[in-house]
Amino acid sequence: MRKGQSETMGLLVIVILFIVIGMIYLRFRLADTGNDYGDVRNSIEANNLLKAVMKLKIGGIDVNEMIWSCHEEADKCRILERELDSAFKSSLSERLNFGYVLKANELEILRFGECSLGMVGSFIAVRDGVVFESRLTLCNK
Amino acid sequence: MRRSSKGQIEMNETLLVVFFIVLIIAIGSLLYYRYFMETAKTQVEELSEQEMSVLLASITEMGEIRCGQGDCIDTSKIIPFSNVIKAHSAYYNADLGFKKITLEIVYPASEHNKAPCDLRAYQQSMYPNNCGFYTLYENEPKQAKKAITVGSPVSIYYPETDEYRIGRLKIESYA
Repeated sequence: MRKGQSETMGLLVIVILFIVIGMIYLRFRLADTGNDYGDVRNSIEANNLLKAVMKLKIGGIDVNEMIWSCHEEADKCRILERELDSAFKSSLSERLNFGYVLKANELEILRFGECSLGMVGSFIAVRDGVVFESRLTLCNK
Repeated sequence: MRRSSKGQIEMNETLLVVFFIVLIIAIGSLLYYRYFMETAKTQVEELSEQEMSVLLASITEMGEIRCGQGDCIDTSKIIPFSNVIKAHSAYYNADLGFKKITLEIVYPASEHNKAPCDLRAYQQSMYPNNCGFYTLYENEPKQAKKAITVGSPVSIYYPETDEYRIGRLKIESYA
C-alpha cells in the first residue's frame, strides 16, 4: 500500500512538472506576436523620401524634368538613375535598402536597387497626358 | 533489510525527488521572470519609439518651421525658432523632456557637414554650404544612459537660394 502510494505520488509530481513546463513553453510561444511598427516606419520613410526627391533640382534641372527626359530618350535615364541612386543612398538610414521603379502610363522605363519586396511609397505626376508613377520600395538589410 | 531502514531510504528518495522538482520549478520561474522583464523593457522602448515618431510627424507640420506651401521645412525659420525654444526653455523642457532634435542636410551634402548651421554660419556668404546640421532642441541629462533615435527624411527649402535639399530630421530620446 505504501509503495503504491509513493509511486502514485511520484507520478502525480511528474505530471504537475510537465504541466508547468508546458505552461512556460506556451507563454514563450504565444508572446511572440511580431512587430508591425517597423513596416509602418519604413512606409512613412519611403513616402517622405520620395516627396523630398521630387522637389530636387540636380545640376539645375528639376527631377520631374529629368523624368520626362528619361521618358523621351532612354539615354537620359542613366543620368537620372545615377543621381537618384546617390540621393537615396545618402538619405536613407543605414539599416535600409531600396528599390526604385519608374513607370510611364503603366510601362516600366526605369528600375534599379536591391529591393523588390518591402514597404512601398509612391508618387504620381501627370504631364502631357502621361501618367508617371515613381515607386520606392524599402526593405531591411 | 529492516523495515525501518527501508522506510527511511524510501522517505529519503521521496525527499530528494521533491527537492529536485522544487529546484526545477524555481529555475523555471526565474527564467520566466527574466524573460518577462526583457519583454516589458522591449515594449517600453517600442512605445517610446512610437511616441517619438508621432513627435517627428508633428514637428514637420509645425507652422513655426513649415514652408508656406507644400511639405517641407523652411530653413530660414529654424534659427529663430530654436532661439524661441531657448528663451522659453522651462516650458519646452517640461513638454519635450530629455531629447535632442536635429535636422541634418544629407543631399546634396555640404562639404562642412560637421559644422552647425547657427546664426554665425547663416551670416556668411557661403551659407548653406558652410554647415551641415541644425539643432532645433537640445536637453541632454547629466548622466545620459542610452538614447533611442528615430529619424525621417524631409524636404528642406532655402529661400535665400530658392533651392530644395533633402534633410534627415532626427530625434534622440535619453532614458
